[in-house]
Amino acid sequence: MQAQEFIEKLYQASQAQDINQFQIDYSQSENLSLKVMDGKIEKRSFKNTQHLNLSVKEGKNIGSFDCGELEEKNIPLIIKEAKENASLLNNEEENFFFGEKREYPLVKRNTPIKDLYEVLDKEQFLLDLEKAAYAQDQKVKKVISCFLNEGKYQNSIRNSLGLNVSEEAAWAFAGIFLSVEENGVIKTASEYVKFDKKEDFNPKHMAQKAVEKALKKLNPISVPSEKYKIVFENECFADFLDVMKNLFSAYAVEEKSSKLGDKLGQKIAAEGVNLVDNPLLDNGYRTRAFDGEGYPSQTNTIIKNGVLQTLLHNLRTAHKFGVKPTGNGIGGDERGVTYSNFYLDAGSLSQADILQQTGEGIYITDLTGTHAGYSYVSGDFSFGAEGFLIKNGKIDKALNQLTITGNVYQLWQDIELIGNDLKFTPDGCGAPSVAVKPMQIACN
Amino acid sequence: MLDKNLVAEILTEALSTGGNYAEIFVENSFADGLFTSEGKIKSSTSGLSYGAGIRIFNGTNFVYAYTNLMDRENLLKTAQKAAMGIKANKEDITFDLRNLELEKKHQIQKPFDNKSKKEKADLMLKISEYALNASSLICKTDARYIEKTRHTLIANSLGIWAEDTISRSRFTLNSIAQKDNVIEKAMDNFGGLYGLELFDGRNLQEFAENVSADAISQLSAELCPSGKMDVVIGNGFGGVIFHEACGHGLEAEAIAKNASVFCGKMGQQVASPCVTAYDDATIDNAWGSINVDDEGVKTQKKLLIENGILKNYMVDRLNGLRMGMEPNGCSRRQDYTYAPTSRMSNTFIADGKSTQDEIISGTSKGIFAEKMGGGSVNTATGEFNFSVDRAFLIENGKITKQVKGAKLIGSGIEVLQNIDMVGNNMTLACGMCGASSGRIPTTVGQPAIRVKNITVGGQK
Repeated sequence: MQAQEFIEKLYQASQAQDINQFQIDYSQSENLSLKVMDGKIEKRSFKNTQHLNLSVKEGKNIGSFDCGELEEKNIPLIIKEAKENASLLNNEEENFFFGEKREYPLVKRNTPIKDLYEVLDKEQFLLDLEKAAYAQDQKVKKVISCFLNEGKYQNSIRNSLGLNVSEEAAWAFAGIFLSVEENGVIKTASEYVKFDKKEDFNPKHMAQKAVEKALKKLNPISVPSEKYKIVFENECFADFLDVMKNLFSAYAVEEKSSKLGDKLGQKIAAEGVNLVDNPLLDNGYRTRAFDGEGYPSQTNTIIKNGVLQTLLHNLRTAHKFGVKPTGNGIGGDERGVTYSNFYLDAGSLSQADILQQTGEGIYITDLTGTHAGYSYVSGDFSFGAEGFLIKNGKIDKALNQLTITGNVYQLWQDIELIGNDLKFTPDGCGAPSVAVKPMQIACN
Repeated sequence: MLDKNLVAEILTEALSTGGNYAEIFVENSFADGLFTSEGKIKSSTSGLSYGAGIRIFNGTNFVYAYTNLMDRENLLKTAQKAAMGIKANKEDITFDLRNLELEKKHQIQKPFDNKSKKEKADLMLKISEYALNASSLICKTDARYIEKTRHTLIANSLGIWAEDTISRSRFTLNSIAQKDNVIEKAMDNFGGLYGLELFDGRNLQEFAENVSADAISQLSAELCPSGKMDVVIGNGFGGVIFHEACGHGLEAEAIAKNASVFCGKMGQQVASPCVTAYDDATIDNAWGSINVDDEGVKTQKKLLIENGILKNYMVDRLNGLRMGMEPNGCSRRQDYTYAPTSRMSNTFIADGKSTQDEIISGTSKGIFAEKMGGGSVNTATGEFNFSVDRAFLIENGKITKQVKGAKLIGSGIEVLQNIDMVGNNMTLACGMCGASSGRIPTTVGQPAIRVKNITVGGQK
C-alpha cells in the first residue's frame, strides 16, 4: 500500500476510535553504500525503507507504537498498542502534541555540491582513493575501510491538532580508515569528506591527509603518568562535546544525570565560553526547520560568556519547568531531548597561538571508549586517548596509548584558551581547538 | 513468512546477472519495553518490524539490498536492483530449498503475554522499591525491561531454508546514591533467552539491595591511582577484557582484511598457557545464544584458544571465502538492515585452577577490578581501553580501600600473554556489542584472572 494512503487510513481509523489526540510520524529513506577493498568494489548496498509511529494521548500521557510494516491489517494492532501503552503510564506531569499555527523558518541544510556530485563516478572515486593511499607511502599497511554512503530521507508529522509538516534531506559521506606500520608498531587514522567543498572531490588529497595523520603517530614515546596541560584538537573536543551534551538536557536534570538544574544564571564555565545549539545554522549537518515534535527551530545559546542561559527542552519538560520550549523534542512518546548543530563557539586564537601559549603539555587528537568511561551522575570521566607531546609551544613526538581522566563540571571551568578553528564532526557537534588546565594522564 | 516459491523466484532474480551465491534474510520481530522511575511507569514502548535483506556474492565481492516494502513486486524489484550491482557471466545455478533441521533449543517456559504490561510494570516498581528502601542515601532508582521475539527465515542458493524463533528478555536496575554533593550510580542486570521465567528463582530483593549497596559504597571511594600495576579482574562481566582485547581480533571480518594482530597466528602461542577460551552460541538460554546464525549455518561451540595456542577464528561465509575457511556459525546482524558478518555470541575464558582468594592474596600491590564497565578496541593495532565500574586497591595481598574512575589500557596480545593466574569461578554476563553489522546481544564471561603490569588510568 502507498504510504500516503496508509497514513490517511490510519488517521481516519484513529479518529473513528474516538481518540482524543493523536499524531502520526512517518519517514521514508533511501540509501546507497559502496565499499572498496583491494582494488575492487567489495560491497554495494541499497536500502529503501519506511517507518511509521502512531502516538496517542490518554489523560496526561502519550503512548506510541512503532510500525515497520505498513499493511492495512496492522491498523487495529497499531491503535490498540499505542492506546494501551498510553493508558499504562501514570506520570504526573502532562505530555503534549504541538498544534499552534506557526511560521517555519527557511533553512539551508548541508548537501553535497550538486554540479560536482551529480557527475561524480563514485566507484572510481573510491578505487582512486584506495590506490592513492597505498601510493602515498610504503609504510601504509592496509586500507581497512574505504567507503561512500549517500542517502535521502523525508519525514512528516501530522496530528489531530492540525499540525502537518514535512522535511526532506539528502547527504553523502565518504571515509577512509587505514593502518601504517614501522618497526612492528601499527597505527591507524581516518579521514572523511561530505562533498560540500571542492577539495572533497579529490581522492589524492583525502588519501594524503589520512596517511599523513597515521604516519605522525609512528615511533611513539612514553611519558610519566602525571598531570599535564592539555590542548584538545578541534574535532576531538567536538567528540567530547558529543559525550557530555546530555548535561544540558532538561530531561537529564529530571533523571538526576545532570547537576545543572539549579545553575541557571550562574557561572558554570570559564570566561569566553559560549555554547550553542543552532538548528538554523547555514549549511549545518543537523540543520532543520522543526524538531521531532513539529516545534519550529530556534537558536539556543546555552552558555554565554561562562554563564548558563538555558537547558534544552521539549514540550513536556518546558511545561514542567515553567519555561518556553526550545525546539529540542524527539517526538512520539520519547521523554528526552535531541540536539541539532551543537557547538562551542569559536574564540580568536589560532591553533599555533594556543600551542605557543601552552608551552609544554599534551595535545589530544582522539578519544576512545567514551561510551563507557563517563559517569553521567557524577560527571567523572576516564577515557582512552591518542596524542602528542607539546614541547616549546609546538607539537612534538607521538605518545603511546593514553588515558585522560577528570570531571566534566570542572573541565568547563578549566577551559583556558579557545581557538578560531571551529570544526564540525558528521555527528553535528562542533568545536575549535581548546586548551585546558592540567589533567591527569596515564601513558602506556 | 514468505512463500517458498516467491523466495525461489527472488533468489533466481538475484542470480540473473552472474552472481554465484544469493541469499535472503527475512525478519519479523515484535519488541516491548518498559521504563519505571521514581515509583512511576514513565514509558511503555512497543514496535513491530518486518523486512528483508538480499545478499549476492560475486566471488568475494557482494551486494546487499534491503527493504521493508514486503509485497511481491517490491521484493522482486529489490532483488533486481541488487543484481544490477553485479556484472559477470551468468552461471548455471540450480537449487532446491530444503528445510534445515535445527534442534530448537532455548525454548521459553512462560510466554510474554502470560502477564499484562501493567503486571510487568508493577513487578519492576516493586524491585525498584526494594532498592530505594535499602538506605536513606538512595535518592532515585529506575528500572528497564525489554522483551523481544524474533522470527527469522534464511534461504539461499545452496538450498538452505532455515526458520527460527528466538525470544529474549532483560531486566536492568539503576540506583543513584547521594551524600551532600557527591552522587554515584550503580547498575546491574540479568537477561537471556527467557520468557517471563526470567524473574523466577531469583531473590529479587537481594538483587535490588546489592545494586543500592554498590552505589552507596561508591560514595566514599577514593580516586584511583595511575600507572602500571598488577590488576585482578573479577569474574562475569570482567570477560569484556577478552571480548575487546582478543575476541574482536579473532573475527574473520578483521582477519580477512589483514586488520587484526592475530592474522597468521593460527597454531601459535598468542596467550599465556593458563588461558583457554571459547565462543559458544549453543549454551542453553544464554543471552548471546542462537540456534542458527544469520546466514543459515548451525551454531557450534568453538575452541578459540587452548592453553594459550590459537586454535580457531570466528568465520562467516563471505570472509571464509576470502580466507579459504568454512563458515562456523557465527555470522550475525542486528536486523535486516545490516549485511551479516562474523561476530561473537557467548565468549569466555574457561575456568582455571586458582581460587579468587588465592589470586588476591598472592598480589602484593595492585587493583582488584571487581566489576568492569564497557570498552572498545582498535583491532588493527590491538589497542583496547575499558572502564572499571567497581575497583579496590590491593595492598600486601589484601583488599584495602575502594577506588573509582579507573580505566585500563593496553594491547590485546600483550595482555593475553600477561595473564598469569586464572580462577575457578567462571560466570557469564549480558552485554550489547556494536560493530559493522549493528548492535547484537552478546555474553562475556570469565573466572577471576590476574594480569601483570597493565596501565591503569586514574584521576590521581
